[in-house]
Amino acid sequence: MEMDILSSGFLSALLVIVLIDLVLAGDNALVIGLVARHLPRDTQRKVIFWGTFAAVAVRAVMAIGVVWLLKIPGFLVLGGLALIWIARKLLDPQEGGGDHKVAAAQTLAGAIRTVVIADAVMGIDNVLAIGGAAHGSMLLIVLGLLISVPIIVWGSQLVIRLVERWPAVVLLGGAVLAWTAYGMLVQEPLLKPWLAAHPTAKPILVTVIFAIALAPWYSVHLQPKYRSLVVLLPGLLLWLLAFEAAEDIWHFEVDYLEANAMRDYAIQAARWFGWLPIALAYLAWRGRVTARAATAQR
Amino acid sequence: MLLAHHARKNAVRETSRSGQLFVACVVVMLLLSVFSETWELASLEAEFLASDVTLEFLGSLGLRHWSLLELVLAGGGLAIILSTLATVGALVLRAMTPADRRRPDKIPI
Repeated sequence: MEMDILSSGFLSALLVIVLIDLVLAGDNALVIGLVARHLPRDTQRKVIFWGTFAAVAVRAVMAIGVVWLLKIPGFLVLGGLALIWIARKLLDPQEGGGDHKVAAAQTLAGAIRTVVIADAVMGIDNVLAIGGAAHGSMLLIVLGLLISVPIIVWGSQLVIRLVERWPAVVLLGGAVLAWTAYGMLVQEPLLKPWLAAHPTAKPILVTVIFAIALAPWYSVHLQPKYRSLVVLLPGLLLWLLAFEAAEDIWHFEVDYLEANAMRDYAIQAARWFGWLPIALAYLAWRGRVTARAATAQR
Repeated sequence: MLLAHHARKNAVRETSRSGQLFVACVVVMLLLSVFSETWELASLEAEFLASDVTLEFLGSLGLRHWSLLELVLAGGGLAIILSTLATVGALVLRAMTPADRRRPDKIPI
């Protein structure tokens, strides 16, 4: 799919890609620097050049692979779920640690090998997110790669300074990743007909995605006694979504206005109140675990 | 992977209130754009929804056709409106609250 480069759709997709690059593509330069830190000065220059070259080459190969993979039925769902996890990981507060533990290489070949492996592992999220945000546009994928190259080469310090000055960029990046994940899930050819037949499923799905991906953010604003909402809210929405899915499998009426048999009323009762015992059991279990942890601390 | 996360180990706690308000407004706009699709369909089917002024207004905006850029800008606008309202509201409340009687600059009314 190719878009007009002046259209708002294209500019929006480009904005998403820039944000994704900013929050996900910055640490390759850091790895290159860490790997090369104990090498002689002229070998360091070679490592920086070949490391950068390898980083860009690995990223380009993975981008082509991801565009091809996203055409396989079901892969968009996997990609969307992976992006939800990445968004959550981005926002999850990490107490202590979190620094890159990269051993300094002793030889040129060893340094380049470490950089290539590190980039292949660290670039998966970035390439997957760009593949999802580009909606199949090769131009946007190429632009995404071109934007990520200067970030890889010179950007780690820039990203650190930007994020330190405006930490909201990280939150916005998490929200945009969740939005991209939703876009990938609803574009999945296997789900499209089902979502078209169930208009209420999309709002539930998007709320579930944001509730899961942004949980580390809103949970810090909740008092400890309300923290269980972080599990209960997505759980309740998934419960409602499961009834929408079960309607097709067991052929019952999910719309309460059109229920006319005892079975339909029973299903309605289960749909709206069936989650209560599960929620109460979860709260009781959570209370017991919290009390046990408090006792162990004392 | 996730340098931003490592650079800012606790972005969630360290983001300013205005930054959080901005991102929250963007998220609300994103959610509204998905919900508006269902509202548009529902307002075509059910009369009671079509008569609801708020839903009719939101439906008329056609939010589901907005691009992400427009939704982010709208989120920014919403954040500015909300913070302005909060500031003005706080000023009005302060003006309405009677001053302490023992304060030396209290004007006897």
